[in-house]
Amino acid sequence: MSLAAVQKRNDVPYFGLVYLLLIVAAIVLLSPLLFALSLALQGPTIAPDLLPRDFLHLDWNVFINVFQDEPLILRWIFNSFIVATGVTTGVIISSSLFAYALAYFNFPGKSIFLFVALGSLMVPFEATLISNYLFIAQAGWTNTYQGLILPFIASGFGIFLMRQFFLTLPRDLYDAAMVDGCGRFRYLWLVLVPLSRPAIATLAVYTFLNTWNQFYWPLLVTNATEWRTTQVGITVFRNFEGGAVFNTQMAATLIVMLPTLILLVLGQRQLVSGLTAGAVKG
Amino acid sequence: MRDDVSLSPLSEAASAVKPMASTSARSGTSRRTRELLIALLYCAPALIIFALFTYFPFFRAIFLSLNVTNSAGQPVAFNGVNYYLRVLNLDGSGRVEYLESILTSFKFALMVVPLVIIISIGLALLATVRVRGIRIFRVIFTSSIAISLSSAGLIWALIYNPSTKATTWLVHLLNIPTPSLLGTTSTALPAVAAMTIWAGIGFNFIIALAGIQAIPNEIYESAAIDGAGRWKTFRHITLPLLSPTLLFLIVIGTVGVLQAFTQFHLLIPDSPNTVFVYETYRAFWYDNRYGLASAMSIIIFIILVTLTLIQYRVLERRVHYQ
Amino acid sequence: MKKHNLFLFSSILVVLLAIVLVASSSVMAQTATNTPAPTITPVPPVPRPEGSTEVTFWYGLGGNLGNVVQEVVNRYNSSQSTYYVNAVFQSSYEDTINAINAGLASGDLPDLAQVFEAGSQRMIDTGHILPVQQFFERDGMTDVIEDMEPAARANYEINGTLYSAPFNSSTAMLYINRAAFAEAGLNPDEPMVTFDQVADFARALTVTDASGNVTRYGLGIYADGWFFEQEHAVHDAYMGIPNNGRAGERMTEYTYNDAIGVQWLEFLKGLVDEGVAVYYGSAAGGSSAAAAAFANGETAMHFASIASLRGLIAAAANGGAGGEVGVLYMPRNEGATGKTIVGGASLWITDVGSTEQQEGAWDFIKFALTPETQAFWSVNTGYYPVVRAAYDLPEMQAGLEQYPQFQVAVDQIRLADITDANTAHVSGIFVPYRTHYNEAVERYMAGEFSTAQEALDSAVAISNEQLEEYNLTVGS
Repeated sequence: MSLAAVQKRNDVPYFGLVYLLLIVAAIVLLSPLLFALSLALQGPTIAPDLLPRDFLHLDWNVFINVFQDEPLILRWIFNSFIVATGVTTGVIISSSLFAYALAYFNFPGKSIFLFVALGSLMVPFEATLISNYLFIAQAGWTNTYQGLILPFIASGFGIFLMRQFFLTLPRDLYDAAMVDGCGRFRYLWLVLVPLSRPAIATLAVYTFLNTWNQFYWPLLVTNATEWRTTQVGITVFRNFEGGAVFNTQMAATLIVMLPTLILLVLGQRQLVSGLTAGAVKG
Repeated sequence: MRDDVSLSPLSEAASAVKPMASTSARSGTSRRTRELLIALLYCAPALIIFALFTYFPFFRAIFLSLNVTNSAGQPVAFNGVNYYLRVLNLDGSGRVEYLESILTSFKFALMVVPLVIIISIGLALLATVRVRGIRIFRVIFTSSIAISLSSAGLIWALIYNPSTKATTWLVHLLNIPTPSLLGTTSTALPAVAAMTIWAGIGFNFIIALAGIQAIPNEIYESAAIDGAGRWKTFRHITLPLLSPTLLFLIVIGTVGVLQAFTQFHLLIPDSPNTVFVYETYRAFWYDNRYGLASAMSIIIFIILVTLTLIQYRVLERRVHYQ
Repeated sequence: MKKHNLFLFSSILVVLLAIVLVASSSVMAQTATNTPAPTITPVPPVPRPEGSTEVTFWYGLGGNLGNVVQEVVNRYNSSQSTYYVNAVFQSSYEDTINAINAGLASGDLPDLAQVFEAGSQRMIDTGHILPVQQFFERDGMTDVIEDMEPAARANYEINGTLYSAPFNSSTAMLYINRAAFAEAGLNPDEPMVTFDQVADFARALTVTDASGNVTRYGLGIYADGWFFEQEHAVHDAYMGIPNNGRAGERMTEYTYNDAIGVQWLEFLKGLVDEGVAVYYGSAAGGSSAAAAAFANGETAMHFASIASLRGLIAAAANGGAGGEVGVLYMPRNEGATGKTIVGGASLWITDVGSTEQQEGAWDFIKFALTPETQAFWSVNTGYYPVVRAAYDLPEMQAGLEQYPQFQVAVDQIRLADITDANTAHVSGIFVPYRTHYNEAVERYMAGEFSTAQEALDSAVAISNEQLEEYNLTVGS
């Protein structure tokens, strides 16, 4: 810890200043969320105030009304959940298999495989977007789960994460198991996977979070409202010709944010360790 | 290696391929071939997806970019490199709107990346102080990573919306002609940048904090013993030791921000001065000019790869590794 | 959490709350009242009867209007059991067109689609359209075509063939705050106004307070190509040649950088520069900001579609603007007695489904065009009926009595005979051209272009480059 090491134990002005800065920073960072909450609780109005005028009559019902006004929200949440789970499962499986081969097998052209995985990280989403969209459209996979899931179930990031982790496990264990006649797949399934739970958890949290929060791709491949995911669905709230309805939109936004916030609180450790693995040492 | 004792179908298949044991050199190559086939089997899922959704589309984009396409995305006429020339204004047409949007993308990156990193490092330093309840503050500072760009975009769109009066004071202060910060050219981009910075603090904070925490205490203790003050410590110890983290944040941050889409779609979708990625979206979604948009997306790719290489080259020299 | 952590957590929360409350009291200087606007509850579809042929119908109207669409569909489905219309909302008119484009590649097209007037050329170019004319003729129902509101019919009748059936029709109006008009001693009941008159109105209606800040602008504006097209129509000027793309040949060149185009932009900018009008931005963002401002009494005049009448009346009542909302014709030069064009959308039948499905689509169109349905639709939305027989129905007449502003709109589209110039233009890049126009206006308002001519010239160049490319792709 940097500042902690140099701090003197009873330096009151120092602590006071730190606390003040912390509180100010926290307020500033949270204020958009508080703003959203404030707008959600003010009832339907085209000219909301910054803070509710009447703290005694806050419209907490808006969170229920959201589901009435837009019953499809539940479907959107369901869609996002299916897609995120599908992608996460796919990434974990495809990455583990690939990383296993990279880390433990000896085969000619290994570096080509490595390069292919690395290359997938180098090609940005934008460069493949249009062709992917045309492919999905022509296959008739718009407004389907496969259109939302398939393009993402392999991940170069996942492969490297798993590979890094596999390489930290003792190779002797594998060699011994092979000598004893254990099948490769058996070893992976019965030994490696249980040992790799931290890495898998990291990959799961990271992939789920990112897939849940996807916007651009679902925007393109879904147009029927019931097929939209949460992120795109809440933006469709605003296209009413009768005028903007701020409160339900903000309520919906807050509701849709909850799963990822909960995931963050629960999976913070995994997420942090996974993200920092490559970053800190350079 | 004898695999035939196992139950795994994969190894059963593998052992079926296994040649008869022999001492000739041929068994060596066959074994290598078998290893390759097994590896292929394991890598197949990811390889197929990469081929279908990363590599094939990439090459198809290059192909499409050389053609004029119809509304259904099919090429109808060969166009050579005309789209590239048009976008980069190398065809003498004098039309610079795409070049301007590339410039806007860079301006945007310059607005966002340094600020978000500086703020996150500042917050990370704050968050290392050992006071009670620091964990809550850390969670708060991390929270924006769980907030999607579309949620953030909707909230900030309302913050900037004149009807909510949240930014009226700023509008008056800056004395701008339209009542909305997003509606005035000079303030639109900084407004989107502010939102992007807010949304990016979570991720940058996590990385910065980990980087700071990775600096061993002994270094600080010896610096304290040597009588170094807080500022000196920061400048000569913390910062250099943080440089690998900084490099990571700068590279990842720039690449990410240059690809920003969601916030532009939600905040300033009709602006004439938007970023290159959004112009690409317009070209293919509203104008249905798939050939032109493909050319633009290849240009984005080239920009990103070049930029990453440059950043790595230039900045890595200044990175101090332990 | 440990006990002292919990205590710390709650005390921090209390501190946060306290600071926020204190800060807010200084920020609160509100004049608008918090009153509810109508909430939107979705309408569930009726169930599908056994053995009925399913007809997929894509539509692009959202919110309350979308609900009425579903209502109409429900009424149709309940009235017979041979066909079942499955209405699928497509988020917006633009998204509908894109979904159709995507559907061309995958073969996933609807049997019936609601497409806005900007999409006509695109729809024709898909090659999968069955012009409704043939159905009318086959069933001996050409009298229904004759009874259609001429302006609405003209929009979708290209080169003598009625391609699609008009469904929801609107036109552009200049909305006014009648109370503000009375206050300023102006006449709100004469709808025919010239540019000069509107400029005078704007000056008279602008209110500044003691410190010189403007508390109400005479006119609120935003960039939207639709009004630009309206002004061309009113002055009988083509948006593009030949003949707005309507006379047998497709449009090959946009010509909207003409005199009336320049005059319109200069008129708007002039008022902004004078300080009697305010610019809110472009397209959807600009339009909702301008509408909110009008409803709040921050502006006294506002350009919008007649379809927004009820919404604006409700918003104005709630937003503190007070008084009645009135409408005037789109402003024009002295002596120009042209009509405005019809906006909204029409229903297109595709040939992708089975013959039964095509018949089902046609059957629904017949239902949608009955006077009863049109009266119901009009009374509940603010679009006017596309068949004139609807005006004979009592509910329509009651509607007109309640909303006399409506009649002004209908009068405006009957001001002149139909010509190619005062009907919506037909071009393959209608939607992109509006973006080019909006961007040019944005730049012009921001001062990046010094003259309106420059702004429109630059937009026209971009439009024509794209139009050429589009025409190339359809092999003309």
